[in-house]
Amino acid sequence: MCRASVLIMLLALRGEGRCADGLPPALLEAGADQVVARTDVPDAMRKVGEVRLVRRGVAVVVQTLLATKVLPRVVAEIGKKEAGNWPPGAAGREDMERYVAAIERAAGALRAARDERQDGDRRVRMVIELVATPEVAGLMVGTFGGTEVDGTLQPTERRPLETMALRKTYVFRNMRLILADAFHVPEGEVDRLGPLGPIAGP
Amino acid sequence: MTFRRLFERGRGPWLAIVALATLALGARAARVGIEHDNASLNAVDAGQRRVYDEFKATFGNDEDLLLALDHPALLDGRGLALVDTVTRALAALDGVRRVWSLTTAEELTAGASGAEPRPLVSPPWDAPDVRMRAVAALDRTPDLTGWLVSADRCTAGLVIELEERPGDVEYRTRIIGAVRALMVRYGRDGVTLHLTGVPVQKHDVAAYVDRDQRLLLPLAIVVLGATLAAFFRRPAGVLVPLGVAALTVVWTTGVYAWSGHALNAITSLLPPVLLVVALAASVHVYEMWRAAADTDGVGRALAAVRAIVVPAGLCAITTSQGFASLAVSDIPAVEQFGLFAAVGTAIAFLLGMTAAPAVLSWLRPPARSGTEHGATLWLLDTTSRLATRRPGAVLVVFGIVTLLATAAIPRIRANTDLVGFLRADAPLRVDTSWIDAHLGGTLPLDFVLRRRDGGPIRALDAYRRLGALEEAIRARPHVATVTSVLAVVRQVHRAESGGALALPDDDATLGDELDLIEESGHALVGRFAGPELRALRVTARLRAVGTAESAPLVEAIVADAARILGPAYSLVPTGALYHVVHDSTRLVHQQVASFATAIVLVVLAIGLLFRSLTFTVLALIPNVMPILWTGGLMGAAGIELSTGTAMIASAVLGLVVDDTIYYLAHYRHAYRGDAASAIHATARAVGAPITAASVSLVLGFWVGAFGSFKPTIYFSLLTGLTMITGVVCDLLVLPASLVVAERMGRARARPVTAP
Repeated sequence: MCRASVLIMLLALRGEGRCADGLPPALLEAGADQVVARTDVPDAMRKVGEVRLVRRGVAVVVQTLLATKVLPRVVAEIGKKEAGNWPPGAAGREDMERYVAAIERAAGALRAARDERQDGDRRVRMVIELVATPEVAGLMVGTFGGTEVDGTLQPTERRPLETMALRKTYVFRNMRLILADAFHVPEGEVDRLGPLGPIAGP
Repeated sequence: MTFRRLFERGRGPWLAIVALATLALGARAARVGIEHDNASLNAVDAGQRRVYDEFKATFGNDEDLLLALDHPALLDGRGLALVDTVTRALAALDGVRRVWSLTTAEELTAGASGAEPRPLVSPPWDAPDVRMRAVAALDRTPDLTGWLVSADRCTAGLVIELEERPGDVEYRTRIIGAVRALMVRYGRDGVTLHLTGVPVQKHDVAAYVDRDQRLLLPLAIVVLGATLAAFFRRPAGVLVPLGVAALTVVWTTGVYAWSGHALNAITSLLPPVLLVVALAASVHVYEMWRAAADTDGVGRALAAVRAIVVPAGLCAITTSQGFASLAVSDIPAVEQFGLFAAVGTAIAFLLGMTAAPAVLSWLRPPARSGTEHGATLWLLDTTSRLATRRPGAVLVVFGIVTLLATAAIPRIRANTDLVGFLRADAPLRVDTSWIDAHLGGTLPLDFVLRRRDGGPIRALDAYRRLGALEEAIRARPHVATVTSVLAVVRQVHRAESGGALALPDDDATLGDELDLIEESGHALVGRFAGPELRALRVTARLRAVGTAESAPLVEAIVADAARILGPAYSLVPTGALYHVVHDSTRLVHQQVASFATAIVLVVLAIGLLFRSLTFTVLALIPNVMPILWTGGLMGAAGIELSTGTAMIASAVLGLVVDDTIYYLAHYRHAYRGDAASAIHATARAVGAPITAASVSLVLGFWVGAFGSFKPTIYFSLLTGLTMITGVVCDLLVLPASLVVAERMGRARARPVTAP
């Protein structure tokens, strides 16, 4: 049994609520990531980034890599979709608000850093990961380095800005909704993209 | 072995070799292609080519089709429905990348997250408020007027972007054929459709080249055959010269095809021109063979060759030099025409001095009759009498005419108008004029704006300057519309801010809006802005004008840019239309260079033959005079210097000088101390074949008047006219000059001997 699995088992013993301040570091270790599926968002012509379905040990990750000059517009679009998917009163609404607030904070910080740099590169690079294991789920938002090679983003380094544990019910469903939207498939068909582990449909 | 025995034994095998070569080259000539992209009409200029290639790599193919749809009620449901139907039909054609029209255009509006694209007009087309919505949308987007809709809103423009398929020469032909079929299909019930654009120009020019090939060559054969029949009244007098000319055309066209060339608007003239040029030597051979005193065929044929080979050889050299001087042109079509016409002239000499006498040696000469060339001889006697009795008067009259003509030469203007080159009833010319009058400019003149340090153009000041430049360009004559990324920036700002159609007030806002434009991935942005905004395209659509108007306009716009944009920016003209403008302005310089080359080469050739400065000068007078007259006629009649007419002087110099050479060669032979007697003898001896060859040449050239392009029509008519005036000068000015020179004690002839 690998170290990550052991750690996850231990974390699971601690219970969901105990992870509220962040995700276990092992779940953020991307060195052995396996990309199962990837697509440009919103499409190849208007590409602002990519959404990837990633296997990270026992965890499944929906990773959104954004490299765009219009990050506030993209974050606003994400917020709009989230609000539509999780209307007031719906279970998960509170997690959604925390999720959106976190990426807005990160976007603001990254944009401010870009304006300070003034190196001529106006693209802001932001990574958003929703991570799910059978036992724990949460969010990592940060930035990444690297360039696009042959039309595909090749992140060479990731620097988390914020992590938070979120309720599994929200994260599991939201990961399916993000995949459906990015890959332009109905939510019920996202299982065709690859093995989804804990977020697989019934 | 004597030359006679060599000729007797070798003539059969030589004719067999000629036949085999004709079969081989004829097979090649039959497969000569036709150029589909007019590429050879553009000058070879590496700098311009690089700029244009960069432009196309950044902004895509600039050769769009423009279809105008005129509808009695365009903005009502029926009109918009038809625009939509035609747009969809065009977009479905293989090779069409995109169609811009009223029903595919978008406007930017304020959405929940800021600017959002929305269709300019949308179905259902039979909704009661469709007209009102369309009018309001067009009022909100004034940049579309003159491009996708006319100012009176009766005509819609459909801009058809084509894919770039370098290896496929036929797809444009298929698309244009399909578009014209759609025009027929939907052009009824008061609806008219009109098509123009650079691809149509290329397509139609190729079609006209093909048509001219099928018409002009047979017509030239008929005209030349009839002319020769009228002069010689013998089948051999028609068939031998015409046969040599036909073989010359086949051989030269075969070599042309073999070297990998395809016929273009200029080289399509090669076959009829060569047919005509190749006649001269064999006409002289035939006439000398007919007039020879020998009784046996071989003796007569050899006598004819001996009498003619030196002047004919010199004529071949001067004619070749005249054509070859066109090779100084950096327009490949003109260069190819010059080189292959020179090659054809050499082939004509070879065949005229070998194959023609070989055939004639087997024929029985016609009995001489006193009525031969009766009218011609009367004319020759009259002119030689006039020239010898009143040489001073002849020179004064011709000198005055020459001075008057020279005074009109500066009025010639260089102008290339590709659509104007076509006949007035050509569909492309009719359609282009219609679109020009009803929709907006049809000629897209492109410029690329860059920062001199290569950086991205993001400063508000730069966009304000660009706006001022657009205004300055728009105020220039012949400019219908000006388009750049500025139109998109203003729309984005209006949608983002909810204000007016204007630029933002600060750099930060502009920066965000430029980010939005860049990241939109919209095709319209790619059409006007390069990656990272390091290059911006500015397109001025011009009314249908020629390069005489557009060349100074380009200079004025570049000067405007230097003044308004300042030293930090550069505005470089480029694009398909600019290539034509650029080439046209160089045409005059090349014309001067080509003519100077021709003069020098011809002077050298004549000087070498006669080895007399006086004769060389005397030979030049009757040859330069007709060219100056033609130049004066062009200036007075407003005939412009274009790709075709620029070739006249150089090409015709090599031709008209032939008659002078034949004349002077015989004159020196006949001169026995009395110029008048030698002139009369010369006129009677060489006047008839000179006249026959010249009349054949003139009529042969005039066949080109039935061609499809004005430059080639003018080339044909003016070359023929110059040759007529050249013969007149040879028969009047040259003998008058000889008499005057003799009186001045300067002309003392030395016999010219044939080898």
